[in-house]
Amino acid sequence: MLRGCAVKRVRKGVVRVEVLVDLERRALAGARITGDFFAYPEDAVWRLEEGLRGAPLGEVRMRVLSLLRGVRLVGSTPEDFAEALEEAVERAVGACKS
Amino acid sequence: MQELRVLLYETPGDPYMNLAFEEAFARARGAGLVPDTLRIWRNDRAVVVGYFQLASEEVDLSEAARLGVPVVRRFTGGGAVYHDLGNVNYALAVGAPSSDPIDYAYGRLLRGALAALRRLGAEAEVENVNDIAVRGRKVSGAAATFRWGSCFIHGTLLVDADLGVLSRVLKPPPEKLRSKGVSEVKYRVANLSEILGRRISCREVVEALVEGFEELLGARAYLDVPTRMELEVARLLYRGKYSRPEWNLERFPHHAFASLEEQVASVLGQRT
Repeated sequence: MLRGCAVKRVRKGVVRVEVLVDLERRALAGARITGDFFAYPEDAVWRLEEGLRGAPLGEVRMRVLSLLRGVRLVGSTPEDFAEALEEAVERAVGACKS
Repeated sequence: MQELRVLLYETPGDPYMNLAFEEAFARARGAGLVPDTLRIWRNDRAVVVGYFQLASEEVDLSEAARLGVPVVRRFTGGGAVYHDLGNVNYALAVGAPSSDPIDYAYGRLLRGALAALRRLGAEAEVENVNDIAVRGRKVSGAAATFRWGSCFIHGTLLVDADLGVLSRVLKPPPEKLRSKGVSEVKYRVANLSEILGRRISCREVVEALVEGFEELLGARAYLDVPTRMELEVARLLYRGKYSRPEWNLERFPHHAFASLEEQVASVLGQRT
């Protein structure tokens, strides 16, 4: 299991992501998304984390955008979250290669 | 004329109770058990982190412990803030608006705090949705939620807080983000007393906030005390959530406290 982190600046503050990657399955084993952003309804953040569990690495971006559909973000965009997740995954996988 | 209930209920020595009561009165308003309510209150030294934040990422926990500064998590998003008796908090819970609640909270209700600052003589402006700055320095930040059926917004107002303690307990934003000038005003805080160059009493701030929100809502304020039901819900929330490290330090969502949710619903339900 590989761990990767990313901190992404957004219009208002930061989105921090920590992921666990299951390299054998090429899938996300878990993700934690924290930061000083605003999302409505709030519980969408935990639904996003749950929805990403088991996601194939190539589908992370699509899953994030799909899970955030209908969620109102203030000062950040679904793209910000997708990019932060992808960066954290890249770092986790990269950490293994190096 | 419409009326606005005002509560000055506070437990400065117990920030966990202060936040428990904050949730209790928001829920009571949402359940229609109390009228529109403005609460003005203070914490003694405490760090209050946002709902989506992990305390260890935002707070130097060992320094906070050393200085005896408790860390408590609130139920709204946004960033970590430092409170002491030189910081005045306001919280407004009103019924759900017919228009978009996000626009209503940040675009309209926030203007009550703006009006208060202008009454105190500050050339205050809203910056970046939810911050209020005077001459480029942030003196107030706000956060809203629409959970529980009410439209709720609360915010801070730095009057003469100890910014030295603030900078010791709050971790600075990551360097690479600061250099890019991200939400800069967010991290450039200042006390109103320093900006205005005069001592500002707590009473003055309370009056300005009450008048600011009266003006905004076209309502006449009256002073009230918490209802027994609000205090009962606050006690439940205190015991089951706000006094617990798993809430304050680990970032669990509300629904992780399932039995507490049932107890609170039952108290609110019994009285409807």
